[in-house]
Amino acid sequence: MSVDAEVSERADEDVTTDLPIVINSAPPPYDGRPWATKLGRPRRPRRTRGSRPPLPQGASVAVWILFTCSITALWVLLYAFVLSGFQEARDQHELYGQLREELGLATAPLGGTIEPGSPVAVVQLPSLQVSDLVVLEGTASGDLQSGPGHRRDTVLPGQHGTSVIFGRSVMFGAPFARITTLHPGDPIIITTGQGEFTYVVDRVRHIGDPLPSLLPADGGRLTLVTSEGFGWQAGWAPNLSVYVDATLKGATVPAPAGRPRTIPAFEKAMQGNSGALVGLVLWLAALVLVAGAVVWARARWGQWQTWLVGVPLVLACAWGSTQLALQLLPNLV
Amino acid sequence: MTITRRRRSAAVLAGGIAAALLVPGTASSATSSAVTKTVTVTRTHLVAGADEVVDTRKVTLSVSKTTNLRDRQEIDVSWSGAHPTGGIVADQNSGNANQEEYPVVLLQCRGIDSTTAAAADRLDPTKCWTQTSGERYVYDYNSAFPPWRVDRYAAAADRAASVGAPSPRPLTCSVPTSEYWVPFVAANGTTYYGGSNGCAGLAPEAANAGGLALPSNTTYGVTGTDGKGSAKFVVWTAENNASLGCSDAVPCSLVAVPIMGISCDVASADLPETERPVPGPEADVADAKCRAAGKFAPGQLVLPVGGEDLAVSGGLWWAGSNWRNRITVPLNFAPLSNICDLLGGGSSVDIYGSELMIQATTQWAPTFCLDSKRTRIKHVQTGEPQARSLIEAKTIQAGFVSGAPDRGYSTPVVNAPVAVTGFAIGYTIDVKSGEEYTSLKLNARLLAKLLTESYPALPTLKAEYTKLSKNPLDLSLDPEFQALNPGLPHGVNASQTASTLLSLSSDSDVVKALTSYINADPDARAWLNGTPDPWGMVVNPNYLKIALPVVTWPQLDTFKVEFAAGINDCLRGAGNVPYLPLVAAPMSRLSQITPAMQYSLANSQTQCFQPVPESTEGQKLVSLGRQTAGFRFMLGVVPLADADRYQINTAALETQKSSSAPTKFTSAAGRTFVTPTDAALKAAALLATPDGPTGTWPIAYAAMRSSAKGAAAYPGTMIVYAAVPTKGLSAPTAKGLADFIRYAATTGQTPGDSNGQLPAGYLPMTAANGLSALSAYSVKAATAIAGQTGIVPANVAVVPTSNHGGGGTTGGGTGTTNGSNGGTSPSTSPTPGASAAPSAKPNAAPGTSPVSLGVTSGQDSGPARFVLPAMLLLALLGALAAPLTSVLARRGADR
Repeated sequence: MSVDAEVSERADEDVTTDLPIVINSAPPPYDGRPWATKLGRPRRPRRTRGSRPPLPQGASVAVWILFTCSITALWVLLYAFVLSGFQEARDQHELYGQLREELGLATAPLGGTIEPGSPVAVVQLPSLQVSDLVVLEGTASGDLQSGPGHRRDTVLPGQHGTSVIFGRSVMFGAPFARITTLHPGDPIIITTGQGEFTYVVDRVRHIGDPLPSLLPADGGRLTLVTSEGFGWQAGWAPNLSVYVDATLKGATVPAPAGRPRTIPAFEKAMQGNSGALVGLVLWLAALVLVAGAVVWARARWGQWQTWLVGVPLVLACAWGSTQLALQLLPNLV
Repeated sequence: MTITRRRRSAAVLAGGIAAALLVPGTASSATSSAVTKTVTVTRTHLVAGADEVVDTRKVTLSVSKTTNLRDRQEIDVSWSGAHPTGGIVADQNSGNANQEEYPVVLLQCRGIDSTTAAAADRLDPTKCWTQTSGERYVYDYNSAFPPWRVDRYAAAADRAASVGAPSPRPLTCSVPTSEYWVPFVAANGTTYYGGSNGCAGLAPEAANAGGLALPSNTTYGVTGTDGKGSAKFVVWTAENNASLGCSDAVPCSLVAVPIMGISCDVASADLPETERPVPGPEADVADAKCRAAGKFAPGQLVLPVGGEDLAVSGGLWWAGSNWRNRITVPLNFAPLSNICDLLGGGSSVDIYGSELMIQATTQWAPTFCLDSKRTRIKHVQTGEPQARSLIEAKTIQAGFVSGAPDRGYSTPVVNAPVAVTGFAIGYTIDVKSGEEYTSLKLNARLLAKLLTESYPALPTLKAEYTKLSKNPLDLSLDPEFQALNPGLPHGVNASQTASTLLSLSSDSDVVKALTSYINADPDARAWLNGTPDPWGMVVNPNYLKIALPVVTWPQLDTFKVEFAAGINDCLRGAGNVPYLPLVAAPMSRLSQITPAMQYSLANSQTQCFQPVPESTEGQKLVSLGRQTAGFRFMLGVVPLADADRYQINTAALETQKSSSAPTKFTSAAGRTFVTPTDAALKAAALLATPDGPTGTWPIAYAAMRSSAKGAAAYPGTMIVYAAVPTKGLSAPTAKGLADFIRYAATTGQTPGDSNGQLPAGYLPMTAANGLSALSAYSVKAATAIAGQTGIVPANVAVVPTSNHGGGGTTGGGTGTTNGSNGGTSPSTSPTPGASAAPSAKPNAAPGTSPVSLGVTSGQDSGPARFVLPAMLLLALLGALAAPLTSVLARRGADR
């Protein structure tokens, strides 16, 4: 962003040196007219310069820094609340296809050690009109950017024991934004490689609420976890974890052995993944390189051509950087 | 172990009645491979054409096992009716043991003892193995007619002044007045003449045995005054001795030569005049030497007197008079364990891991490598933890392990049970009468004392190391040990090896099992935590409160003892290191401990070896070496199957004690000790309940101490699993491994010592033993491995949570209810705290806990609260401040 702005200001002074290049690359019918436009534009700044004095060097830098910060922050917000949703929708589409194929071939994972990021189940929340929400394995911040994640040290839904699924409430499509509005008795229908299971919501459990009762000998429980905020934070700055407990209706199915018994800290509730810093550094380096290249191309090549090629590149780098940067934030947001 | 022994001796008795006279190959027992043979041996001089019978005896020889023998295997040889032995040496396997008088010489010889066999296959002294050249070369510088030259049963050619000398004679071999060479003819036809100090060349395997080198198998067996004697004879195949070259294809025999003395014929009427002693003084001297009946009384030691009568010594085992009395027992060998290595080509799969499996894989491997349709399997012996990390790193395809990693695998891995076996505390302890002690009892506290370096081992150390100065010097002086094992010597020469348990220095599930057993024992745990035992012995402070179990036993003692000059120069000044870890001297592999225990090779690295006498130059610490028979005291951790194969005694371990048993006890009364029998392994294996999350059957150490059935369970029991990923293996590898596991869990569980069978020391996983759940699970695992779809079969019908008890668990999901588990599960009531998988992890989200009733504590996240609002603030501030700054700056510039 800042790069473009800088280029446009410098253009006011460098018109004459740029001229031959512009002519060469301009289309022939346009040939006679550039003089008028090109001469007409430089005059305007000269007039304004007469009425408004040039900014001192220090102030100019300060303005640009502030402007850049503002633009960056706006971009992050735009990504977090709008663009990340597109990303999640696209990932869900892919995962749904993958899981559908695996269910068809009976190769969907049933337990044991499952590669994080692979789809394991489909959730329907009829009372919230949520359908075909694909749950993937793993609850790291990055995993949850693609949809709800199944905590790796718990059993899969339908098996004996408590199965835990995390989901975001704000960013990346906010798949679990409304689960706190579930009512006791609402069904949660979940499909895994072992069949379709119906859980019935017991209640929504906020911090401070009593824990659910002991699980019966052959019972199954599903706990959905997301985040919530109150007051001004509601809906966009949730800081507290919240749980929805549901009990399995019917019998459990056997669980294959080999589940991990511990998971790293960053896969637990409300934890960011500082491991994303490595990738972030690389993406930011790419962003700086692309920005530099755009400036260079603007001076050597031409404004519109640079826009055409540069904007997608800069956007892509900004997109990648932001996605990784958001992994540093708690996974349930 | 004891069971096996009893079985064997019963077989010997059953078959021992039949007898065969000097006829080779008439084995008396058809069903068992034990063999008993009887010969009548005489010493009859020829005097003036008439027989003069000196002695006649009927010698009966029994051999415990003669078929499917493997390299380095020990067989029990016992005899009765032989002439009592005198001039006894300390080590009956050493080269100088041939100076014993009237020994029973046991030799391993290549060939068939038959007059009808082809000459090349026929057995004779030149095909019998001796480790040293002195055992097959005799000479005399003074006498022209030593006893072997007047032997009436020797062929005429063998009575010459020089017999069997190499031609040309090497210059280094001096020429005595008379000499007799017994060259050794190797399997490949090469002749090694040996000679004095090996001057004419030795077979590569021949050497003067000593130190840590494996001793010879040639045995100069000692007969007691009752005419009975026994020895453990080690058989060698071509793997250990290619020159001797015995194998399943090359027939070999055990030859026992009961030495009766030379039957003399001084007159030598059949010989030319130059070949017989001149009548008169020369003949009289020769006659006296030949007729000598022994210088030593039966049972007398050869030292310090020395100077045996050659005519009755073991050194003339090859002489006609002795050789004709031989008893030959044909030996039948199993295919060599390197048979698979020798076959070229073919694809193979390596399975890394547990050394407990060595004996089983040795017998199983030929089934796979000899069948071209099967993938050959190679067992690479490593520690189990190493195998697990290599599987995790995807470096190897499979491993033999005895447990799952603490944090699970990151790929789906199935643990298919392939064997129920374990570790044994092997020992060699001689009682006061010089015989081996065979009923050792140990409890967990004694093992803890040995492992924690709490015995000072040296009087000097005991005096200087104040923290241990009140402790007994070694195990034999510990009142607790004496109470459990009456009749053993109090105070032994081998105080260093009596102060330690030869164990592993590397990571191993065996160490974990051993320390789990110790940790489960309240007395041992209390002692480790600092409570002195009832006799006042305390734990070495460096091991105080050590957390168990561990996979590696640490060497923690730091006390350095400063020796006076000349005592142990290696441990003086800068070279001094802590002493007790040197005494412990753990080995890196169980396969090293086994031979050390088999031959009682003390590994304590406390002997200072000075290559230049009286000089510290080049000095180094070496191991103590082989212990002297009669004064041995050594304990070590060995695989159960190795103990069975190599006849290592195994200790009975304490499982439970009655509440009335006194704390400060004087006998083993009220305490249950269990030897590693099949029944005890079975009891332990049935106590192990399946664990769903890991897919294994962990050994129930706590139940072993508390439940009624636990009293009979052997605490060293371990289950070995083949850990194989069910995702990511190539199709041929997966198929080969699945085939192997299917075989190992079913057909391979047939007990026996032939190829493809399960050797002793492993409990067959059969329905008869109540272990069909294990083999059934392995078969399912094999299917999952072949499929490579990432599925790990469940070993329980539902995810077991210990709070719901073990009563409902069914074995393997095959419908076979593991009924014997029902009564032994530790608890059948829900126990808060002992929890299901979700709540077992630290710092779990509390909302997921199904058992701990409390209040949801949840998570409050600072970043979640502030980051996004801060972004918005930043955006707004920037957007406002930028134009503001611009305006302000321009105004300033205007002025």
